[in-house]
Amino acid sequence: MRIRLLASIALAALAAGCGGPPSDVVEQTASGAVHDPALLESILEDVRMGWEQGDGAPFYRHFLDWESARYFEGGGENLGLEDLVVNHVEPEAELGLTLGFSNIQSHFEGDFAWALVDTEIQLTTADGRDIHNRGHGTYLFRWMDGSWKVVHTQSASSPVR
Amino acid sequence: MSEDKSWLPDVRSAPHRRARWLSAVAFLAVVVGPIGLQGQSTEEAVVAVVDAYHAALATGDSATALSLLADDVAILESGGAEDKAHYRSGHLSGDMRFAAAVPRERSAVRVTVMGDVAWAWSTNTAEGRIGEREINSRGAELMVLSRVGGRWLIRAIHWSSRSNS
Repeated sequence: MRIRLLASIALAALAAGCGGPPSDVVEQTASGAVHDPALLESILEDVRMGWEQGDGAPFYRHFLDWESARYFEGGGENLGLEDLVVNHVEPEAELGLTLGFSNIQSHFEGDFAWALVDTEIQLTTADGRDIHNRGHGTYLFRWMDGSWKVVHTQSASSPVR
Repeated sequence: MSEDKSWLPDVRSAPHRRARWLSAVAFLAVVVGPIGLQGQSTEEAVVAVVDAYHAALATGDSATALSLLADDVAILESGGAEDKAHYRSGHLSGDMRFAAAVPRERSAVRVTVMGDVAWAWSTNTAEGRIGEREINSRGAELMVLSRVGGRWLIRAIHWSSRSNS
């Protein structure tokens, strides 16, 4: 009886191991672009931490610094990477920003990818207003020199009721 | 940081076409997408889809608007997110009312094409009234499109805006 039970468990484990979903298979294009959601999620976690800590390093590491770069949030925009870091990331962290990313949905098309993420933001403005918003972010990526680089972002949120 | 900026020349802009007859031309370009209008660049074909989508909203043509959205489209606006089915039964009618009632000035649409995928962004200002509500806002729009069977379809839309007042 015990042998039969162990055999059943072993067979079930074997079946589970062989029957993994297709999403477990990481694709790679001819150009080398790796279609692995974990790569984008890792970048987004670095960026999230950068926002909270007012640290520009993750942005300079993961964002493509190009002349026409635009980053939009709530209808406003930063022009270029330095503007984003100096005039947005660093001042917002000083307001005690906490930022949550969840439900990251990654899409890959060749050397291009985009990720949609649910966001939750809390901070206290300089004039003492408590802000608690939920919303979404869209991050666009391009595969360059062996890694994914953020080329554009757009985010929007509304107050939690 | 990489110095390879070879993709930058792909960034083009095209003027916003507000006139309906031009929107009709844009829609025609979309309809005949698999063939393509003679002389139309890939970037212009993408802009034509963006324009046709806005023209459809402004004229209350929900069928055309929905036909330009991929089945797996994600539509993000302010704090909300909708798939195609929810958008059809949710915000689409409100977006059409808004587009018809509130004049919007849109910047040039910036397009980057990478093979069979493209992204397009623009900024806009909206000023007018819808019902009792005064609108005076500026915003940004991002669309991700992909080419399926020679036809560009919208895979993701993200709108954000803020009041000017």
